[in-house]
Formats: sequence, C-alpha cells, structure tokens
Amino acid sequence: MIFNSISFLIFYLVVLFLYWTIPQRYRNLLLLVASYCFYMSSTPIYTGLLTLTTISTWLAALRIETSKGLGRKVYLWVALLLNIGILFTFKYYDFTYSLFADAVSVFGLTLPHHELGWILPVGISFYTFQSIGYIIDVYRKDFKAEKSLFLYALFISFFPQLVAGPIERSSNLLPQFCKKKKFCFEDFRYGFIIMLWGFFLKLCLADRCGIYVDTIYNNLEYHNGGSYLLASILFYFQIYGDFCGYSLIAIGCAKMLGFNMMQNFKRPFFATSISEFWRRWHISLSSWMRDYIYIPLGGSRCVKLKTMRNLLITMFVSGLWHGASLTYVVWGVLHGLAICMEKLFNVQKTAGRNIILRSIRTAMTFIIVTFIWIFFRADTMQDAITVITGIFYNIGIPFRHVTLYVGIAAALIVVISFESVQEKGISFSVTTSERKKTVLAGIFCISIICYILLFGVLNGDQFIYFQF
Amino acid sequence: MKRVTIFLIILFVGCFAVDRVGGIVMQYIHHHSNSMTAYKYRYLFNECHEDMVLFGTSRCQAHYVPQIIEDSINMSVYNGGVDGSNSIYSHFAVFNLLLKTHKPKCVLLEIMPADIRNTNDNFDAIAFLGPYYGENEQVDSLFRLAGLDWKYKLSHLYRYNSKSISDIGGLTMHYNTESRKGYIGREHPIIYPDYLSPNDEEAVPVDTAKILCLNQFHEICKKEKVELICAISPIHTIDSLPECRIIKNWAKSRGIILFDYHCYHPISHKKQYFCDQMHMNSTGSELYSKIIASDLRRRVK
Repeated sequence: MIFNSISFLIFYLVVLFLYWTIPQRYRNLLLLVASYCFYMSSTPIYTGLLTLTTISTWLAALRIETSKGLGRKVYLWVALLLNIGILFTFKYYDFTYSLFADAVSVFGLTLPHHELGWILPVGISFYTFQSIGYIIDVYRKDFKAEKSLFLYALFISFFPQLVAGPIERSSNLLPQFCKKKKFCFEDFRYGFIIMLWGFFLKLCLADRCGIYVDTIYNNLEYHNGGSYLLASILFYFQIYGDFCGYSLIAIGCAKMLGFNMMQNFKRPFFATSISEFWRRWHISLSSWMRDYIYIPLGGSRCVKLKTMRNLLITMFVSGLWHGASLTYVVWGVLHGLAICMEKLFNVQKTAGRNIILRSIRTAMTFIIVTFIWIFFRADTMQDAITVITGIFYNIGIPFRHVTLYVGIAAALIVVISFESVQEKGISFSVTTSERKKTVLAGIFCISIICYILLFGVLNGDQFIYFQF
Repeated sequence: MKRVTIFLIILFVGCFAVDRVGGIVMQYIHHHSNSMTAYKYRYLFNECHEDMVLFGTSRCQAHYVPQIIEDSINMSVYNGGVDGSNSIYSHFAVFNLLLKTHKPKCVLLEIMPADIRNTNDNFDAIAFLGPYYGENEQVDSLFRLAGLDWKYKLSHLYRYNSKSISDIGGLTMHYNTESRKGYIGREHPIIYPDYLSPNDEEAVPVDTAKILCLNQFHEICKKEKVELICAISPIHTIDSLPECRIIKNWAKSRGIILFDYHCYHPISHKKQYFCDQMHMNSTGSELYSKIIASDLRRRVK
C-alpha cells in the first residue's frame, strides 16, 4: 500500500476517524493493528521479520537495563548481530557473494551460484536502524527500556514512518504513545497542510521529473551529454520531491493523529556546503549516523586524519545503507571525500550573511551534489561513467519535451518560492487570527488539490526510498 | 470536532466548485487549443470528411504521407495517428468517436507489437480522451474497463489531466497540420547505436482483451460497412518479431487485408531511414508511403 494510492487514503481516513472517536484506552491498540495491517498489505510473510526485530530488541533492552558489567555488552551485541545479520542476509548477501566470486575468479577459480535472490522486505533498513538506535540508547542509559512490548511494538511499526522513515528516536516518539491525546484543530489543520504539500512534491514535481530522468537513464545509448546533464539535474529535484514528499506525508499523517515526528528535510537546495547539505537532507539518517557511528568512532574530537577517517567510514556506511551496489558505496564515499576536503581547507560550515558568497557557495554545493547523484541514479558503475564522460565530451542539445519542461518549471517555481519564504523565516504573525489562518489554509488546500488533479502525475508510481 | 467538520465541509464544497468551474474552463481551452493532440481530435470528431482515415500511434503519424497515398488511390486521406496513443483501446475509442459525425469508406489501422502485448500501460493512452467522457457508450465502456469511470465522474478537472499542459500551451501556438493532413514527419535523427543487435528479448504474453478489442474494431467496421485494412510499417530490426506473426494470423483468421512491412529488408535494415528503432524519418516515410500506396491501389475497392 503506497501513500499515493486510493487504498491508502481510504485506509488512513478510516484509521483517523476511528482514532478520534473511540475511547482513549483503545487508541494505541488501533494504531498497532492498523500498522501491522498496513505492513501486511505489501509482503505479509515478512511481518514475521518485523515481529522478530521488535521482540528481540525489546527483550535485549530489558536485559541490558537489568544486567551489569559484561552482561550488558553481551546482550547489546547479541541483539545487534541478530538484527544486522537479518539485514545483511536480505540486503547484502547476494552483493557480497558476487563481489567475493569476482575477486576469487581473478585467481582462476569459479564459485557455484549460491545467491539467495530473496525479495527485500519493505522498510527493513528503516525499522532495523530505528530498533538498533533504541537498544544503543538504553545501553548508554540515555533512555529507559520500555517495559510494555505493546508500546514498543507500536514504536517500531507505527505506520506513517514504518516503510521509509523518518528514522525516529525513542526519546521523541515512544513517550508520545503514553500521553493522553486531545483533539487539536490547529494540529489537524497543520498536519493536513503538510500532508498535501507532500503529495504536491511527489505528484507534481518528483513524478514529472521522473518521466524525463527515466527516459534518459533507461536509454543511455540513444542520448547525448546534454540530455545526461539535464536528467542529472532533474534527478536531484526528483529525489527531493519524492523523499521529502514521502516524509511530509508521514509527518502530516502522524500530526493529524496528534503525534510530532522529527523533521527530515530542511530545504537542502539552500545548503552552502556539503556538511550543511547533510544537516538539511535526510536529517533522521544523518543524525543517526552521527550519533551511532561517527561519534563512537571519535567524531571530530581527534586529530584531523582520524576525523577524516571517521567521516569516510560514516559516509561509506551511509552509502551502503541505501543499497547493495557499488554505485551507492561510491555515492557515499564521494560525499565523505567532499566533507573531508571542506574540513581540510577549513571551509566555513556556513557562509555568513554575505549574499554573493552565499549564492556562489549554494551554486557550487548544488553542482557537486548533482554530480554525485549521478552515481545514485545510474544502474551500474559503467552507466555512471557513460553519463559523466558524455557530459564532458559529448555535450549537445538535450532531448526535447516541451510540455514536460513547462510542467516541471511550474512545479519548481511553486516549490522554490514556498521554500524561499520558509528559508527567510517568514510565517504568520502571532497576531493573525485563527479564523484568518483557517481561511488561508483552506484556500491553500483547495489550490493544491486542484493543481494536483489537473497537473499531477497520478498513475501511482512507487516512492524511490521504498526500495531501501 | 465541530471546527474540523466545518473546515472539511468548506474544503469539500470549495474543491467541488473549483473543480466544476475549472472543468468548464479546461473544456473551452481543449476545444480551442492548437496543440498536436487537441487539434487532431477536434478535426477527427468535428470536421473530418476524408474517404480514408488512418489510425495508429506516433508510428502512423510519422510513417504515412497522405498526399502520396491520395495521388495513388484517388481517395482523400487523413492521417489520424496520435503520438503517445500506445494501445488498440485508444484507436478503438477514436474510431467510435469519429463515427458519430463521419463514416469513411476505408480505414487503415497501423498495428504495432504493443497493441497486442500485455503491458503495464495498457490504458494510459485512454486518458487522452478524458475530455470526451460521456459522449459515446463504447468509449465510456473502455473508461470503465480502465477503472477511470468513477474518477471522471467525480472530477471534471481530472478529465483534462493527461494533456492539460499541452492544451494550455496550445492556446499560444498554431500547430497547423492542415496542409499535411495529419502527417507529422520526423526530421531530426536522434543518436542511436550504429549496430543492430538480434532481437533476444522474450516475447511478452499476448493480452487477450486487446485481441477482443481488435475483433470489436473489425465488427464495427463490418456493421458500418467501412473497409478495414491493417498494416505494420517498418521497424528498424534484423529479425521478424513474434508479435507480428500473431497479428498476421489474427488478420488471416478474420479475412482482413494486412500489409506487413515490419521486417521489410530494403527499409528495416537501413538506419538512414530511421530516427529511432520504432520511427522512420521523413525520407523513410516517403519511401514507405509510395510502397503502401501502390499496395492500396491494387486492394482498395
């Protein structure tokens, strides 16, 4: 069940209506049942894995809390190895085996075909990291272990963020399940608006850019460097619209149910450095990587060389998290190298108030990030190299599709205008009356819905991050 | 709860009002747009008077030069091929809408492999005809089959979704195909491989629903006493495609004349006649049109 489908809308409306009409004591049960139904609508058989991850990490956390000394470490590592092992088996086994087979073939040996060929369970990367974050928090004594399996299961399986994040922290989301919820119209209105905005980003920006990007990247031999360049730029907008759109729909859904989830994107086009880009892009993952990999390795509290090593390892893992492919690893490592270069040359993390400097830095960051996205989008390293060499050595007039350009331009103007306003921190003044805010919200919602009906790509394409 | 109910009611009423007014505006735009598709549909459904009408996708639009065919068969010809209408359902719908105002003497249906294959985008091209929802029962039955019926009933704006941008853009341009009678040649070759590799793709299963649609197309032609001729124009390929053999057998079983040039070596193997694997450029189209014109001269009653 994907977010941009009629079945999800019906499902969510039913859950929303029941949630606010049934007695408070049954609401968490409703959410848990709904979350498991949501997950089972995609691959029912993998619900067992979700349950296994939930129970194993819940038990491990309880044991970690009650144990002392070496025992705490043992339970931590057992839980980590079990869950990372499951993730490795489903996501990385075939990739690792084929890499090993290729390495061995250099010596003239041939390994038999032992790939598993198993379908990747939806959301496994997300809920595995979420549960790993939880048990590490308990181990570090940053958070008390949740005694109720029921509440913990709800934390892991909460349907708005189950399959593609944000990767929530236990300290943020878990306590909210224990609080009594009273319906708040302002929260409902705000959640509805951001959910609609998420649909706009997905249906009007991402999917429209995707038409052009897929045409070029799926048929590289028929196009020139000009088309590659334009497709690569549009891919940045596509993946932003897709992933940010999904996150906003998830956050909006949760908000209407009275839950506050963490912000996952913060206008990454305005980043003035790669370091800043990672504070604005997929914030839940980058902060997870920072707290559970980068800082335990030593972070930046060591000599420069070690800091760079820590950065490279963190970004390597980040690339690998996205998928079992060399292209994702290269993508991650390139980001790591870019951040290392910034540290090496002491490039300021922010460009201050100088508008010209900010603009140049923003443009440079955009170009570097777009270039690195080529590896993320290309199916193979060979395709990535084809695209890069094509851009530099075979530039020509890009493949023309005027109506597509117009559709993308219109959506981009709306998105960039809206985000520029947000970047400047312009918002409703405190003195604006609630009635006025509701009227403006209504006009905004009607405009967005009608824009989506007329210009949205409504053929139900899946979100990109579902494949992770 | 009272506030949210009022908010949702106002939202619903507002969306309904904007949707209906927007639908009226888009209807005006669609009927005055000079975009490629809108112009062609408007001509086909309101002004077409030609004796022979060609139906098909962009391959039909780019491969058949009406003036060349007219000179040969002494009948007026209009090229009704529509770019992006990649399925038999779309051609069937257009034909039914045409019959409301004009009954040609002869119809040439350009069939391509996708017209019988079971693909993910079986009904995508039907969406082009959303603005004509409610005008013809045969067409509406296709909308029901595609699952679009309730969406078009619910939203008038959504009917214009598939071509909204080109329709609006078409108000500012004048896409004149009158002199070319629906033919739009492809002048600019696109980069494509220097070599042709053998077709090693496995044949995709045939969609029996599409075959039924083809049968219905033929039945309507028989009922309206319109002569149906089928053709498969050249594809840039080495091997004969299995789907084309299936189309050939189908035509034979129904007693329909079929001109199969998809693997015609004097054209198919020569890249100078093509701009991509599926479309000939204007040089190739003119050559092919002369060949098909002489075939039609011998066979058309």
